[in-house]
Amino acid sequence: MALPRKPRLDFSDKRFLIIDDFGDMRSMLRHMVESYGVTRIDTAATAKEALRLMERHPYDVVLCDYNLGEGQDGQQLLEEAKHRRLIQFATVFMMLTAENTMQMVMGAVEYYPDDYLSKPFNKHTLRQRLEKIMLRKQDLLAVDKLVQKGELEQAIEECDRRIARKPRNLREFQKLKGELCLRLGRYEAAEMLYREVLAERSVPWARLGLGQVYFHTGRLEAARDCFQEIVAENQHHMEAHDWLARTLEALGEAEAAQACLEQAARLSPKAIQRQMALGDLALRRKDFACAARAFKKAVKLGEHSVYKSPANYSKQAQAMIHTSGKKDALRVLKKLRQDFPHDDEARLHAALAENAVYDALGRQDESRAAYDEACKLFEAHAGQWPAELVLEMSKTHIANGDENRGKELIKGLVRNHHEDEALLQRVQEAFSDLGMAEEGRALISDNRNKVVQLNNQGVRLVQEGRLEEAISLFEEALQDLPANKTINMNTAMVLLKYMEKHGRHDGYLGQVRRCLDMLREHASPGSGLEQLQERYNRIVKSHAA
Amino acid sequence: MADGSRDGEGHAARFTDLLASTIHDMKNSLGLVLNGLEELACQPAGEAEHKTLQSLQFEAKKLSNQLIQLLSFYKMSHAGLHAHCDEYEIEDLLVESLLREQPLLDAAGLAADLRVDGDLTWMLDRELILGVLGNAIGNAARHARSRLLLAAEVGGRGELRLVVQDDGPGFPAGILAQQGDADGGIRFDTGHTGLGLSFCALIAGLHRRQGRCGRIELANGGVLPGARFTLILP
Repeated sequence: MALPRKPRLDFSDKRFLIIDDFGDMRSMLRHMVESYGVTRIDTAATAKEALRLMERHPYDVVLCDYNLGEGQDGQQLLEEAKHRRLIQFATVFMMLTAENTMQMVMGAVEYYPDDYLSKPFNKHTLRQRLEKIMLRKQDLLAVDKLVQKGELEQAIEECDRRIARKPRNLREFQKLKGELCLRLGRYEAAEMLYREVLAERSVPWARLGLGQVYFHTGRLEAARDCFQEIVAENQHHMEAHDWLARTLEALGEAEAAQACLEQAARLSPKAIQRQMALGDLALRRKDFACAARAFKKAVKLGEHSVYKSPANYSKQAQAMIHTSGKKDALRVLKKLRQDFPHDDEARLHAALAENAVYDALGRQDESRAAYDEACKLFEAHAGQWPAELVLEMSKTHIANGDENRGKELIKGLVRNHHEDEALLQRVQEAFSDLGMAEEGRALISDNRNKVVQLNNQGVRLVQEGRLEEAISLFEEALQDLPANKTINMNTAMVLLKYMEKHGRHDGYLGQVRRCLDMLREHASPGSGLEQLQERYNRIVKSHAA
Repeated sequence: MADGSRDGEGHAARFTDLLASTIHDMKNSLGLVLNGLEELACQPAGEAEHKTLQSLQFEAKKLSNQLIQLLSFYKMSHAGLHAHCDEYEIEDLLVESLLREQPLLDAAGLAADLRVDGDLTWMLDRELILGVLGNAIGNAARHARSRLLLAAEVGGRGELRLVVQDDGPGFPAGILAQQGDADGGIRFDTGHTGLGLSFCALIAGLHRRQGRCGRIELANGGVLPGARFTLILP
């Protein structure tokens, strides 16, 4: 048969891992791979076995059946392997599936496999697909290296250079450039790129990208229409569902947002993050039945997932207080303690929820005991809790009659997150639930203003060139507000500016690094973190020489 | 689909889920059979064994294609079957469709030619279209004397035309007579399900763009003298 193919890639030096719970399938796959001249082939029957092997060796190619019987499925295995960095960019991960619609309904976007191959297939088609992916990865390697180093600006420039040459895989570079522009908050450039692609062909990724540009630039109606069109054409486009729900919520159409997420969750019943998002939204809307269902599913799905989280148990229990099952709520919390032994965060979740459940059951002594435990745990790790738990703790203080302690915590929370509108809204809702809506509004605006004023003062000092004074102001502010993104961002900025002018300063470099670490964990894309990281890299590099 | 515990949909849903997962199992087993047959076909064998093996391969492949069709019909009647279009390189698509049938072509000693512009890309549902091409190539391989031709071109109305041709006796007049009502659709409601043409027409029809629908065309003759199957995508 005469096929006009590029020269074949040599697979003989590649290391393969084959994962299938079915012995005959494993040996069939092994035969196929051996026919490519591959000698280093390992096989695993379960995800557990596969992960153990991946810990030992890096693999060039992983062939993984989606359905692995008991325990983790292929998607959950992929998520854990990527999460634990057992898979490198160059690793080819091919998901073998029974059907073709699978790809749309599986997990999170950052955890897509490189490709899906539906069964049955033969050795020729498998090889063609593998070669295609390897060539693609080779092509993208230079850009990916820059991305891994955090040098996103250079990565975009590299994309531009490739795009200008109009290569056969032009779209790959366009797509990547679009993603990078979105991450850097370069919405104008992203919009131009997506429009250019769409003028040529209505590819779904460009429509999704354009919708995100609309969303981030406040054109919410346009974003909604855009995501709705994608979903109307392909109801299995899960990312479009997620974005649509986010947009609807931002438009104040919480009910429609919930309906959208419910539909998406029905279509992708195994995607744990979507269940969590649905549960959170339903809790905010006080649709406790829906919230209880969603978190129950999230708990169940968490059994084999890297996304297993104590919050799902406690939120399920919180929702159940309002539905029929208070006693069942206690069982959920008991299971929470069993599933996360020796985990103080889980214990705090459990204690906070138990306090509310026992109170609802009228069992005051037990409620009080849970409250005491929660306080003790909270104090033991003060300053380290995520915002969500701090808010829960404050609400619990107030519900248990310690209004002052609750308010103090909330003040700190507001000042550390004075720009996080979603969180501030939840703080406001908490006050409203307690019948203290006015007080909440005042507390939020006072504390937010304090931070804004402090920050403005620092920025003014920078503008006037009084860098030393600005540094001491921001460093002091940081003591008080270690989790505040703006303060972290501006502290890093002023220290970098100082070093760019006066040269490297080891103490300052360390402080910048701590700020950037903190921001990386919490900042949203487009906040300018990448630019700061690059300035930091330049200083480190220029003086290392 | 393995989750039989969905709330409130009752026995009927569980029954159809069971049906689908049974078909999946059959498909997997048949996949093992096909690969085993391919390995056997690579061993030296006498003329008679070779013929037997070849016909086994043809039948097993046909069965496999039919199971895939059955699943599509199942999906269509329950959840609705939709084309999930993305942009693909047509050369890759055609090469893959031939590679899928390569064991058959090798066994039957058929040569296949490909005519496609390497830069051509199109919006389509890859799995569904591979199913259609698999069908067409399977039919062509069954009737070809010595060669097949796969070609892709963009037609006058800006539509993609994927052509599968062979040098066999061509489609029977009865089949050709069934096509060509007003909207260009094809109705194969009598008998010929074995050729999978209704399936192909249906999948083509799921591909829509700017008010236009995909379709198939059947004819005889052209570059090769035999049957000519054309899948047209807007």
